Amino acid sequence: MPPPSPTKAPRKAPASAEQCVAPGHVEAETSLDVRLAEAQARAARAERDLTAANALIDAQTSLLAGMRSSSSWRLTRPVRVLARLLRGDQTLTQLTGYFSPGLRSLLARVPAVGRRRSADWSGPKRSRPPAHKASFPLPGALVTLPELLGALPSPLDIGVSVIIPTLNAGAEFYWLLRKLTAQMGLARIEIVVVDSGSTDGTIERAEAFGCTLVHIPSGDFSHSAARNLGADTAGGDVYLFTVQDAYPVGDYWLHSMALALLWPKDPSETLAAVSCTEFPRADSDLIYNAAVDTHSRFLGCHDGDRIGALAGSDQESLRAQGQLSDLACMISAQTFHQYRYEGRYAEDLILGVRLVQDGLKVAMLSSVKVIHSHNRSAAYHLKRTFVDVTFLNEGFPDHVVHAAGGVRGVIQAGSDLLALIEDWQPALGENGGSALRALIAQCSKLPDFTPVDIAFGAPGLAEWLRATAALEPENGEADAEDLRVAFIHRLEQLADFVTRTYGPIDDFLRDEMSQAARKTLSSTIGGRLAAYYLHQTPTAHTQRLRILMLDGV
Amino acid sequence: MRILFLVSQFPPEFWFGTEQVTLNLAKAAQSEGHSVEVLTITMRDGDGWRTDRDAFSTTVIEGVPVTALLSGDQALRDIGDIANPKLARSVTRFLAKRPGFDIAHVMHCGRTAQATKLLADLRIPYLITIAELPDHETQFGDLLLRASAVVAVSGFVAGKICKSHSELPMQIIPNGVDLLRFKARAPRSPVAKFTIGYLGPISGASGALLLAKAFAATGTINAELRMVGPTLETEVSAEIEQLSKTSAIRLEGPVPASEIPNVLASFDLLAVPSQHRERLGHSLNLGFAAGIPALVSNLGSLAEVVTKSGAGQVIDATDMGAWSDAIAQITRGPEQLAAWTRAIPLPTRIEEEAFLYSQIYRAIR
Repeated sequence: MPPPSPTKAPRKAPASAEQCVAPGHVEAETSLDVRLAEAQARAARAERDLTAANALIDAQTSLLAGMRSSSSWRLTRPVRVLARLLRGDQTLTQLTGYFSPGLRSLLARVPAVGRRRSADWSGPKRSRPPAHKASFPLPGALVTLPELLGALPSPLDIGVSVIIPTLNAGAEFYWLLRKLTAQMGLARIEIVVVDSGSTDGTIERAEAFGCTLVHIPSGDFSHSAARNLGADTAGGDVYLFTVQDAYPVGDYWLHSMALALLWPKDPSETLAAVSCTEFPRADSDLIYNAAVDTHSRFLGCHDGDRIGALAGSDQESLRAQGQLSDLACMISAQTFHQYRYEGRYAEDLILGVRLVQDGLKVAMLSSVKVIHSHNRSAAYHLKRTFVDVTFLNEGFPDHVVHAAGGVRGVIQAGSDLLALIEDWQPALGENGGSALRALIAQCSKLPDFTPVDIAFGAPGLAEWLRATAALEPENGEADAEDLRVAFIHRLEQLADFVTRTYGPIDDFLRDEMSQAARKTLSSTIGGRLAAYYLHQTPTAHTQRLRILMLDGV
Repeated sequence: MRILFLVSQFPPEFWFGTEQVTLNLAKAAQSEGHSVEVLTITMRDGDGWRTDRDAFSTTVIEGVPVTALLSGDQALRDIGDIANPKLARSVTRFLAKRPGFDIAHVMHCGRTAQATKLLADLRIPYLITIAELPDHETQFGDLLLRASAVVAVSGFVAGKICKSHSELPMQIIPNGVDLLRFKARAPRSPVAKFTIGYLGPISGASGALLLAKAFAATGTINAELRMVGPTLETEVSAEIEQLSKTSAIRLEGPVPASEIPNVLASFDLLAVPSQHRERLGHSLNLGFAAGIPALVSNLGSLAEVVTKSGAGQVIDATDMGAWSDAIAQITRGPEQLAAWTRAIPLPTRIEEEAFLYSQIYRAIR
């Protein structure tokens, strides 16, 4: 079956986007809107469910009334009473209502053997329907891994080119290559490695696995350029873009993605591109897990596969519907070469948005996943959020960022909050969610500390902040308040996740929570510095901030 | 989703294969935003346990809440298949006190049969992972039939279950390996001494003595046998010590779990001469992760894996002569070792295992 062909001409990316957005970092900025939308959707679903349930109750009640009024029902009543007694669903005492007063008195004196049993179990038994058997595919799933179906699929007569940009991919790249070369159910698999100057043996490893190797000078590297170059070299019918530290789940991962892309079960599920969500590594940290959780809910793929189509032209809708992920993005060669990647950053989001704007559909799968996560430093979170916010502002004209007037307020509030976090020692055994809520409560009234370094080790940032603050006449109280409020919003998201997931605190969880609170603060500071940067007249000094933030992201 | 893991023993008292798998799965479920609890037993009060407001012994292991029933009660050894009213009351009380569970994952079904039956009676959907075959087939069979899903950890275990429950739908999900702790294997130096490695308890049932005798009988000069693991039977250990005086056998004792990848990386070949039916074959999986093929006994799941993959040789468990011949042959013929190494299958990663289970959780909810 040939890959589906888009029928419309490709469109340009929204605005001159150069930067990227990643899971979970920016969502906090619009958290209230997102949560409101989620709550409204939940309410609508609940209302629909309630209506359906009421209709069902009416129908069943009517049926029951008819049955109870029948002669056969009345005649078989003693049999049912006896059966309930034998099953232990009711005790003799409970059943005495069926008998004459004399018999009831007699029965009441019988030390019922089944009475205790019934008292123990009758409630819970009636509270649940019978457990059902697991069956696959799950409702709404576009595809199911053969490992769960328990049957080997027919091979697909297509060639897949896996395209991986690399730079010092490290030891775990070996495992990715082994996993990819062991994939089954496809006629041909080609691995195209686009390397931008590795010196750690990545190139030799790729050669040893028979990969097609492409070199891109580090000066020419961008996330788009590297992937476009790899695609220009690839010979497959279908491309799968992934990253050097990802790892497929299962032996039919590529096969399953290809099935979803090229063999839709229904014409309404015809896709131009498909991505899958990430399953965190075992060493993933708390803040990453919470961010992935938030992001997948925002995208609508937390509990099932999501097909995205144009539903509105606002930035939230475009992002939620159009998001693809280069952790795993499959697209036919024909479609890809009509569109190609654009922008230095967020190339996956930009591609997905362009596709849905052209009336095509893209999918984000949760029934297939790719193992991937990071355990990043606080400095990285700071820079990453800066980049994410500036990208969104530049890429989506309706993405509003509340301006920051200066950096003095950011430094003051950042120092106060940092002191608070560093003093924060939740007690062992205390509930994790409650401990975070207590921290949030403390944030509402902050003592003023002497301003400290809030750069979290990001090179050059502390100096830049000091120099900038020295030029500002105002204390920046409004900016300090904005940072505090933004931090509380982000911390509330983290607290929601922890409340839902964790119970009492042990050493492990305490350390995770402390790190997460610290990284939440650094991320918030990154967001507020972006808000400052975006509302300044560009100068060499402000451009220096951008350069510092882009470094290493 | 609220998930209850039911396991007969758990850290801090016990920390072996199934306990580690349970902890991995529980933590993975948390990372996906699910609320989990582990229900287990403990043999004694003491370090690491505290009594909560409902009078249960509780602890937290790496962020995972754990509740132990009937602390200090030796009758807990009977948690499995012997009717124990005290246990039934405790499990019932636990389930009544905690927020409702959407599903339960039973990890030690053979040893938690009665508690599992309570889950079934309460209609809590449950998933059973079978790593070992229980002794009391009758009750176990009923629990399998009432389960919402049944998973076997190997084809060998699935085959055994199918013999008595041919209609039972079952999935096979192997126990995962933390692959990132292992590195790509460096090429072997042709002049280096050939190292056969044994990793496991020093006991008769594990075949450690048979292996040592078989190695000593080869008289191989450019090879050594390194035996790593705790001594379970001192007489076996003493006999191996005696053999080590005349042949290149080193009895090295146990190593911390964190060291296992390095230990395996220093072997050329793993020997698993088990005298009983291995069901998990975890040491074989670890060896494969380290890039080393294996000589295995013909009992249990190991033989199946090695035969299917071609990553080693299957030998009669009790035939010492056959073990000697195999050792002598492989130490003289490195080409065979290279061919076996190329055939090593990629073990399942712990996160893959966790994802497959997460899909089953969704299916039975």
